[in-house]
Amino acid sequence: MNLIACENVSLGYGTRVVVKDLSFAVGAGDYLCIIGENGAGKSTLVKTLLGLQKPLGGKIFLNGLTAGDIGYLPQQTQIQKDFPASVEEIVLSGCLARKKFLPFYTSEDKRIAARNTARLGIASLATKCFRELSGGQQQRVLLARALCAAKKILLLDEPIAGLDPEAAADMYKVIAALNRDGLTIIMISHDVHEAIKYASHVLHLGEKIFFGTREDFRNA
Amino acid sequence: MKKFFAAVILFVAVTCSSFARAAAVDIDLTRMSSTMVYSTVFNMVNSPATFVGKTMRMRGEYTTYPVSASQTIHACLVRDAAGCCSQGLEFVLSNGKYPAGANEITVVGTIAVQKIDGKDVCYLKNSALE
Amino acid sequence: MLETLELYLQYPFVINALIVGVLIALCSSLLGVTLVLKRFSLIGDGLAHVAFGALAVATVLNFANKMLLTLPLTILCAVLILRGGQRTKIKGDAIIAMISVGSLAFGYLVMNLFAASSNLSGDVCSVLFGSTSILTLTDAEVWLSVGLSVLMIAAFVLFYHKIFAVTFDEDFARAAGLNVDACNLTISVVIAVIIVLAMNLVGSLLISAFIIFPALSAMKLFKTFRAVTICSAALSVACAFVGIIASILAGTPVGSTIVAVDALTFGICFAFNEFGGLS
Repeated sequence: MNLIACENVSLGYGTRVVVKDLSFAVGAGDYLCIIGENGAGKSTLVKTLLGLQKPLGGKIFLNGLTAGDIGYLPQQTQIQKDFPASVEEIVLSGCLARKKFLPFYTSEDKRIAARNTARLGIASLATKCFRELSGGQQQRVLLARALCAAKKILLLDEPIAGLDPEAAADMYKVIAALNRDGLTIIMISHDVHEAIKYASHVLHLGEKIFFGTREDFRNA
Repeated sequence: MKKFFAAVILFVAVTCSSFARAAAVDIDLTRMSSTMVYSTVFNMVNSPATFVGKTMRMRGEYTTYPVSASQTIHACLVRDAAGCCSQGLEFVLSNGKYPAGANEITVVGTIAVQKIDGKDVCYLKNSALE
Repeated sequence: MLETLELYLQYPFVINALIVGVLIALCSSLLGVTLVLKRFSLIGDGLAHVAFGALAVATVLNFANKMLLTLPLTILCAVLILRGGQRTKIKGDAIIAMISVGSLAFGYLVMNLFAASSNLSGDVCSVLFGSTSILTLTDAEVWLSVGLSVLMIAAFVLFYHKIFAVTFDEDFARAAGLNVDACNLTISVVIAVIIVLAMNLVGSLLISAFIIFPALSAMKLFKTFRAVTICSAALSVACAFVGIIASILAGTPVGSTIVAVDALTFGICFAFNEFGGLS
């Protein structure tokens, strides 16, 4: 069953078309890796899938997915690097996806946040300040937050950017484990070789668009 | 409630202690900071209702405004802390002998209201200079 | 000194000043944290100058209650500038300088051309620096200020988690289904209202310092968003209270005294952070 299907989609900003005629589908449990040069439209595609931007053309089918089903790990901004917030507060903010108008978090929300914090091995850092953590730890916190908002799909925008090789390898293992648990993964990565090690499908954006399984990509 | 009474007693004690020097007044602006002096006079001029009937001593610049050939308003001017805002209060001496060319004056009187052009205007009646 | 204070506290306008001052300090410090973290501090300053311009026009048009014109105009400007959030196009410092100094010049020119009162520089000075404005509020202004402050504080409490999400990561919040634009709109309106209220306390030129110092001090001491917010509120209220009392005892302008106390507190927190150190 396809969770997401794109048919002849064009992406870009205003009149600037970055990607033309893109068609691909993501099934439940897939691990899709999106690769390509800088400016090829990888982040644009993810933002369009999330509804942060509108596609310039074509159709995108989200098979019954709501905002509460999709978790997002965006690239870190400068503001976050100095932000006074504890790990708890950040992870809990992922539960906003589940709320409508209630102003306060329920104990259910707190339970989910605690479970995801533990799942990623950062339970001991719960009360620590975000800006005092290492790059790898910070990414885990943001991943835990994304998990609070993700019931079915996780979209990750360059999750290993700025991490040292050891932390990057750790991150890949964590994401692969999440995929094995049943979470569909769509990941943008610059690191072609490592990423492909774990992916089930590959989407290459650029001069030529390629979409297929990992095997097909290896052979191409 | 207790604080209020304590304040009243202290206030009475303080003013009584200077009884030998000057008559006791309800509001003694000469003992207040410039910020309070300006604010009190401003509030008095704009909403006189709560102040009417009280006796007051104030120190400030003496100014006159000739309204017509026969009538002059004599006022005491106070400034705020920065010195850029000033507020004047008219006073009417009971003995009618206004100083000529004085700069700083201290005046004691009773706060009263008169209607000018339909507006309540505040002034000090039965006043005396010190 | 205590007797003088007890004497002063008998005047209703002093009690009013303390109550309104504390409430304004409370609500401005809460939003101050968001303002500083979103890097919008300069915009707060720009809005204060727009409010001055609006106030000048209201004075010239002889409005009985000047806030009737000042509030809507400032809110409109805030919405236009801040609504875009992180995507806002008018973030460049050149544009803020234009709006900010332009309104100041316009306001002063308008007041000069159509002088409604004889003491022009006094009026301008008191609006810009808030020397005694908080001690000379009319009853209507007191009730309006109290009502609006309480409303702003309630809005902050109700929207606290959304404000956190939108301040920390707008993209994620949007992806999570939060109506980020509505949130930014609410924040802009609240900031505008608070700036107009705070003009009565510290004057237009000192507002940004008044809003920012407590937030910065709190960030030197604490590291979680909740602790920083609560500390910022506590420091702002304490400084405003001490500032008002100090200015009426010492005979100094209220606005500058409060901001001086805020600055001193920041100095202490900074020193504590650098040399004492909370882990």
